[in-house]
Amino acid sequence: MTGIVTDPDVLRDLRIRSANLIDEIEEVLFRNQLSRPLSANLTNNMAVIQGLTHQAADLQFTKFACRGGLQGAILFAIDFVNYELMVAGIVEPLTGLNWTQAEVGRPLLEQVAKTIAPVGGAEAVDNVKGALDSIWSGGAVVFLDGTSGAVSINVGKINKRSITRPVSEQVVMGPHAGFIEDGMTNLSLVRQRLKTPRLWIDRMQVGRHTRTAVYLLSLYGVTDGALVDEVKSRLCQINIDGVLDSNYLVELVKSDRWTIFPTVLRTERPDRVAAGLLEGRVAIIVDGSPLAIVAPATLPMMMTSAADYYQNWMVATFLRIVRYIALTASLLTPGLYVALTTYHQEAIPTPLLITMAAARSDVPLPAVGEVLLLMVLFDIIREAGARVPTGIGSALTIGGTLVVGQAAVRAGIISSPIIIVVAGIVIAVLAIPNPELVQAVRFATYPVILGGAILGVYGILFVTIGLALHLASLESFGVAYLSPAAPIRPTDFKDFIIRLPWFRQTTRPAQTGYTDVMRQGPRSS
Amino acid sequence: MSTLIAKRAKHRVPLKIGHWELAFLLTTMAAGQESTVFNSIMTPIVGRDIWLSVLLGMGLGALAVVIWSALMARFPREGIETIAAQLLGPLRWPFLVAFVVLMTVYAAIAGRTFTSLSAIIFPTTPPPMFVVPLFALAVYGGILGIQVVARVNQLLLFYVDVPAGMILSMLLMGQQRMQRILPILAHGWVPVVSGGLMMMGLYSQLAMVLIFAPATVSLQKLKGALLAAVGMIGLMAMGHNVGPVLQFGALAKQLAWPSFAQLRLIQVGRDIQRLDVFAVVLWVHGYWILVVMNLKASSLLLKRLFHFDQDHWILAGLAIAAYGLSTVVAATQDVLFREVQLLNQWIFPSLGLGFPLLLLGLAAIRGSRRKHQSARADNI
Repeated sequence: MTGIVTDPDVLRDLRIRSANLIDEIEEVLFRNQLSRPLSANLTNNMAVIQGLTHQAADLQFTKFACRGGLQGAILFAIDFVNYELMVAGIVEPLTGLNWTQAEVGRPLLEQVAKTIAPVGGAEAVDNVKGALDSIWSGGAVVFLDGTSGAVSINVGKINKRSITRPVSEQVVMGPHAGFIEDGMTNLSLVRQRLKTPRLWIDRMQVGRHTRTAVYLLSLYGVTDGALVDEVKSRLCQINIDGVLDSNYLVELVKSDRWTIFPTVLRTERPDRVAAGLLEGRVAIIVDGSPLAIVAPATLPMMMTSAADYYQNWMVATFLRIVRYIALTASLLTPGLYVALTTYHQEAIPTPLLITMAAARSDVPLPAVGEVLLLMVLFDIIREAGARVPTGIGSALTIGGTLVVGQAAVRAGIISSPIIIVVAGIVIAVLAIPNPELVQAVRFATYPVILGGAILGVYGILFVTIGLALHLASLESFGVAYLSPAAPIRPTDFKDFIIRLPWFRQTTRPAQTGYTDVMRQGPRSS
Repeated sequence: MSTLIAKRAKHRVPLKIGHWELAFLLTTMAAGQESTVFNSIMTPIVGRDIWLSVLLGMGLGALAVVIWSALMARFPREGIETIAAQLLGPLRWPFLVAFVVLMTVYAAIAGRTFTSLSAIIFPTTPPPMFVVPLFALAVYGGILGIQVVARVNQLLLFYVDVPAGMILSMLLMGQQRMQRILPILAHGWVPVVSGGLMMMGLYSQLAMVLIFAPATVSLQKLKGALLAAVGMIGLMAMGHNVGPVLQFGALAKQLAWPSFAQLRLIQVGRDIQRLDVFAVVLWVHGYWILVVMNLKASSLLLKRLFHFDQDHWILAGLAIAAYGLSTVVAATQDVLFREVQLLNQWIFPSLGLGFPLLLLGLAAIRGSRRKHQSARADNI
């Protein structure tokens, strides 16, 4: 081809292509540098690592010299290592050695590994990537001038908060320990509850850049092996740059992705994880997240609180019934209010109808407008309240209550009955124990209101049937989401709305407890 | 989906429909009609003896189940289209096409009936406002699969309909008098038989089980479940049809929608009344299931006849056709009732009972019996 290209589109295309090509070349070069073997030249190794990390501010090379004169350096990540341990366990012993430059060539690093690092463990590192991987895990990498390779000595320090109460799943009676952000601590919390060799823990690393440790927990002999294999294979298929919380995995591994309803249970409670494992489910603990995942999970499971099992079974049953009433009320009440006041006034008792009509006489908005306005206002206040610090939160609550409750009614923008309805459902929705289900119900309330506004009770029914169809079509790792309600599974009714006493719960849930069905031997029941 | 899903589905969550799930679907389908349009047609004909018609219908319904079960036992895991192909050859086409047409037309009539009912509460709202969402939900349900519809049906049936029905019945009991069904057979047997034929038509609609049966989990237990469905339908029909007679006596014959008129009389305490608006729950559920079942059965039959991979587009097409028909059939309520009566007294029994009986007879004569059974691969 001859001549000069002048067409601007072609030029732009060429520019983009060449930029992409440069990016690709740079990526290849970067990967080559990462996999490059560590050389015997100390200065060279330092230069390569500093170049690759762009002289990251949290990386530190500390040079030292042995008493005999041999030069060396320690590479570590600031605040990832225990300084006292590193100085006492590595720096001081190394500087006290009589090694000279003439001794280069001997397996000095092996000796370092054997003699200097007896506590935290040590491993040989061959390339740049290995060195960088180990320092992010709390390792101090020792280089000796003239000796190729390096040795990583574990002197890690874990930055973690202490174990506290679960924020979203508190109980009055029962265990108060909640998960924290450290994966190993969370594992130990589960292990404390299941001291059995049957508790199998598979470790995986997910996230190209975050390299997040993910632990898959199952109870051998109780959990269906196929379920474990399936979850493992779904986790292995994940190819994402980062996993910063367990919700990343939830969205990537769950069966039905296009739904607002939670199809796996995320919990802060180690006892709920242990209970799930005893029911034949699997659990996933993600390093960096205080929320573990339990799967498969059903809607009735989301309506269950850990407290149900720590109090009298009859009380627990009563509270479950109350929760289901709260669920139904929070979903349907605003829509029903709109439908009844707009289309079916005859169904409202006359004295109440008169009171409501009087209250609404000066309100310029139709019932649906009132309800939507107030629902959105409440959602805004709730959303704002969830973000602000505690001190401002109370001011926000007072402000919100005054503005919405007093000023709006006095100004004639909304009527007082609607405040009772919306405030009622705001409280009712909080009776649902699962925060993710609460959000889903809040979302689902709006179509019901619109249905009620357009077609009265008919509209509510149409929307409800559509919602029920959606819920009935959901599955969590092969288990129907509405089970045991639909499909009806009478054997699982023992722990559905009614929570039977433990002496009547002799078998695991039929939906999950597949391998070993029995929970109790004949004596305990 | 993954092998796990398939494995778990095989053991726990059936991809196909359970025999009880199917029985409950058929029960709801029939209950929606017998509490509304059947009640309105049969009460003027039979009057006080309506309970005898219901009993007669139950007997005929049980007989129909025996015939269908015998056919299914001879040809296990076979749909009506393959049974007909083996026994009738090319002659099967008129019958099977008649099945599709009848079910689609009946879905349209269900839409029209639903409009008529809804007009009681919303007299000025245009009919499409009710029928379009009803058909849209039917298509959505049909596309998700009959097992999903069955799950929703169970939810509504056991957690809404049955408790609501029981509460409403209890509230009505105080106003009902048993002696209002007397005298028995005051007008002879003819009206009772006529009503019984209507009930037979209702039961004949369950012949769509011959389309769904190959996809049921347990064919052996299907007969028992169907007989139970006959019993449940009969029991509900008894309540729905006898209730207005016990309430209004001979006056029930003159009411357009006797069971609905009955609900309007409910009063709790001084101020709570007009709970009839909540009865909408029962008929929306019943008519939605009726439309889904008829459209799904039709689309499934067409899919199998023409060897399509899936029936989503057929279902949508049939729904549009049924919607179009629902706007033109039955200009008035009287015409609507006549059409329903005609279909149920003659057409449904002919196809739902007569055709399977013909196939069973032919199979007996020719000694046809499918020995090896293999489950159909299609997912309903």
